[in-house]
Amino acid sequence: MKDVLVNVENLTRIFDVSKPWLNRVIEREEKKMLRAVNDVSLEIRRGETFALVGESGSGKSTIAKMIVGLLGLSQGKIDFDGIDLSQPDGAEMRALRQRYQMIFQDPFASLNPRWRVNKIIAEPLRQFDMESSESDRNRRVEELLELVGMSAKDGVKFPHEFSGGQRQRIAIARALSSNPEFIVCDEPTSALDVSVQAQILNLMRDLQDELGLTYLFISHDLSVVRHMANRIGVLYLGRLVEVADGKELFRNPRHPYTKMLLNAIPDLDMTGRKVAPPDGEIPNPINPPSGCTFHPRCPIATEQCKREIPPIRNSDAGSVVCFEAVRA
Amino acid sequence: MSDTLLSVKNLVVEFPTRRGILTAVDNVSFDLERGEVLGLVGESGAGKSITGSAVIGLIEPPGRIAAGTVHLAGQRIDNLPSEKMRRIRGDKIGMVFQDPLSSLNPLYSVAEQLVETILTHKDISKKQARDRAIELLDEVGIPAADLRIDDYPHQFSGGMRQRVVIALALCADPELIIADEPTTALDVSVQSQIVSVLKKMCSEHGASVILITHDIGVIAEVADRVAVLYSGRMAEIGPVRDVIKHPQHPYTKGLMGSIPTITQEGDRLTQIPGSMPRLTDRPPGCAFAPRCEMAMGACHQSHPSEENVGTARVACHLITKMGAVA
Repeated sequence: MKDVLVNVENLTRIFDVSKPWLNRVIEREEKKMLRAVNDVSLEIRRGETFALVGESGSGKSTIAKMIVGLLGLSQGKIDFDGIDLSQPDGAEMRALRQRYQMIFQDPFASLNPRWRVNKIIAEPLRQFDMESSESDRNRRVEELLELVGMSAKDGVKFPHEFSGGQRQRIAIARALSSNPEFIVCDEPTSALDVSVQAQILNLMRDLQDELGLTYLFISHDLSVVRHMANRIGVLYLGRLVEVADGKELFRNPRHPYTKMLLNAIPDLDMTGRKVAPPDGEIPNPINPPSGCTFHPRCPIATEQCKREIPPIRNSDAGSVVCFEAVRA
Repeated sequence: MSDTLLSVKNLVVEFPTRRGILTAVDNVSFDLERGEVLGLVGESGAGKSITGSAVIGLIEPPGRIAAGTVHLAGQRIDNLPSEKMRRIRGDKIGMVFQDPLSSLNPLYSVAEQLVETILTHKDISKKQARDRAIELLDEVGIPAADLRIDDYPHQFSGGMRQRVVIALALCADPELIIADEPTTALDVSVQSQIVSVLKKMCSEHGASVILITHDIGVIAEVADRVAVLYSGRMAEIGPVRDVIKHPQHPYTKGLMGSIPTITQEGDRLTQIPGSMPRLTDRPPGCAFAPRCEMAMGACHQSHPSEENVGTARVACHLITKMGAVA
């Protein structure tokens, strides 16, 4: 049986990007709406790492923010462990909030520069009244610092005394302090150097094994995703175009956009592989193309792709949203 | 026959600070042949960009080139007065920076910026300059170049803007192009487009390129040779294939192991413990010694000299010692 921890159904987020009312009246413009996330459904199983990949503007971070509740939903529904997140209020919601946390991309912006590290890490403990006394709290902070590979003595320092990788460790310790089951990681290593990135990725995997965490891992880097994820969802212009098991996606990509992304990965094995670089760029999401939004860049697009939006086809290997991939 | 365009010898760049002198680039030497692409890789703070700026004489005071020489096509350029250096930069060296938005003037159309640059360096009419500009835009792959040339930078997307910047760098037919993280701000699919444009442009225009990046994937695709910098010093330099496939220096080995690839088996990435030392407290001896698994006594005492190993040049005591044995 599949043990689904987070279930997202028909998630849509629309941003109003129109000019102010007066300008619209004078310039006779319509309201402009941007569909950042369009009808996305996915499920994240307990204990797995589900990765979302896509280029900038594909809606990766918007989905992350909606799942943790930093952004409201325009349509759709998010279930966490069987509870609809729009339903509970007050105390019930606070209890739920303890169970999921987030790690952000920029470790320089996500830590308060005027707080000492132990105060930063203890913040969730204070918020959720998890440790009764000050000394318990300090002990827990020391444990957490050691868990993420730092020294317990580092707690009295300020964030500016640490390098990027160490700060990201502090951010991870903070996320872990409320004993969450589910962590949303929004590009956790893209601000780091490769050798430090390897340390953080290894740490995240070790913590997952040790604490039984579930990750939603967001990245634009396919090779990082391949290393981390059990299952991968590929986003294009706010739509989930393909979901597949990690290794399967790389062995046998089905959506033409996935194929294009895989081709664009630089060849580190120096096989002398020659590939034509992909055509075009991600279109402006305010005026997305008709039908399948990928058709202007797609090498196998047909007339049907220009007119109709392809339905989601599920199979054992995952789901894919493409007329041609299903036919082939 | 080797035809050396740029020759950097024992370059040292220093920044005086209140707490003493910081040596950002320490004794770096390399040659660049005509038509060659040299990759400079390293982590942030390794001195990649400073090396690039030093070559073109753009070190911001109080930083200065404390020792060493830079020769461009046989002419020494590191000690020229600023006005003379400015002419050389314009005529012979093109630059491509990381952020395409900040390297274009938002108040002028792309046509004005390209035409002005061409007219500064070439004695041709405005009409000819405009035709040349359209030709360049066409070469770097901007669709409908004759129409888009009158657009302003904000009307282009990130990838297109970086193409414009490349066209701008090529205006004066430079002999040397310095590309500082040209693809870092771009998406993966656009990145590979820019990489192939860059590759095509240098082979067609016969320009040499110094490609500064932290992304070894990009180096693997474009560069002929690669230099690995660590804490302001050269760790290893050699043909790109040899350095990537058979790294000699323990740092390069660790770096290659820490990159997740799409063909890799196994779960864990090799990790190098710790992080690069700050320039203020660089250890005596080899800068990598505290993180190195194979460090010996000598590594903590003296900085290793660069030795030739096959096609590569490596600075590591292990190589010096082993070379004597093997």
